[in-house]
Amino acid sequence: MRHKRPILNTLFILLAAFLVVEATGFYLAFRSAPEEETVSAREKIKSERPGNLKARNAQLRETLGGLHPQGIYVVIDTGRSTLYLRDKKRVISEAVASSGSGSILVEPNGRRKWVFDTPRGEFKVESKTRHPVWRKPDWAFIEEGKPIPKNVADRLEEGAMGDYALGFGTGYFIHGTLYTRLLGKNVTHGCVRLGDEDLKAVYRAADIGTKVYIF
Amino acid sequence: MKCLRWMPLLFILLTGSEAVSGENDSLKYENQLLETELRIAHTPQVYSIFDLKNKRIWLKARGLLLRELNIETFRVWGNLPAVKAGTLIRKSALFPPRRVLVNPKAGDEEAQPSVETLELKDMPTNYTLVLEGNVSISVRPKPTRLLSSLWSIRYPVQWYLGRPVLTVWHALWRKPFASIEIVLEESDARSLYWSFLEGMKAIVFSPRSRP
Repeated sequence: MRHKRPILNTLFILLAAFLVVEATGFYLAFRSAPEEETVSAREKIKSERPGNLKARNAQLRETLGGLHPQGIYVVIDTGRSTLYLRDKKRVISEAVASSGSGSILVEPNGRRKWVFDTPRGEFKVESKTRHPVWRKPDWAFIEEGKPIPKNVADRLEEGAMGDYALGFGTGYFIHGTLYTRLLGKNVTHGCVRLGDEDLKAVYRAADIGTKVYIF
Repeated sequence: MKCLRWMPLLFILLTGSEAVSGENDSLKYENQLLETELRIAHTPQVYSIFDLKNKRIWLKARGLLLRELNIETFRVWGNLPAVKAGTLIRKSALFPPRRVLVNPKAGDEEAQPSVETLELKDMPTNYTLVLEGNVSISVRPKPTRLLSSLWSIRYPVQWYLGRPVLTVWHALWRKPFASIEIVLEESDARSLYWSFLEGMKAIVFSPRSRP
């Protein structure tokens, strides 16, 4: 019994210390005013009339609405592998898509590395091409274990991108595919692939300058 | 007795001013949210708004709604301002998704499309998003089975035991600390992890977070 007492005492002290820390934590968490809300700001708002605030908020909403794209735009949900053609809030059509695989390729000598992600954010259609010819980049040869050609003509491959291609950034396209069974899976090197009919519809609807939102 | 006659009028005046003040607060918070969103929407990036008042998460770009997720339940620890904007600094999960390393094929092998890829289903459902200014958002899946419901009892225990300690720790370093716990449907939790990338902006709107 004598041996147990110091252990109990230590446990009791530790428990008391923990409770003190807990109580201090609770106190600190809810004691102070939020950092970004100062007394002067509160006073200023108190003096503001609801009518003025309503008008200001309406104006802000209008300004925010002014940033929305005009006319048809493209939204690509990479997680759900879906491309939407939208006009304001209305969805005109949706299509099964494939986007970047997220995989990494490292050059055998370790000098270069590629991450095959589809970029996210706001883009616009910069080019439109019928019967596009793929100019294979270096990574395509490295991935296939082939030497990188010095001649540009040796890089060109017909048919791999389908019937149409819409360029939306540095080297990224919305295009077709030979591997239609893989549509809906994220298997690309960053481009967005669509089935033939959906690609045709997007090609017809989206002009140069059409906004593309990818998330 | 004369003063009693004025009591109803006094009551109306007091409750009326309270209602005006409430409306003013609501408009003020909306104004702060719109001002903050407008600043972010001027950039061509996707951002998210955690609207705790309406229990919604919005993924937006240029003020345009791209995706909406429902928050099942949430709780807030610490004194968050009504509108808090910040960049996502870090996503942490116990089992984060791993990127596949592509092995270059040997020259004589026929090129086949790779099918080992990152998909939405590979994303975690239980993770923490750390925004600048030491605001952490813990995302949890909504328990769907009895076993997961029982296992989820650990979250409130972690919350009420862990958060005070973290608050004291940050206070020792003179840093602010606030934490939010959000429960989402499993698919929504995966979607949020997928879509909300490090470097993206977020706005936390919590006008009723004060105790």
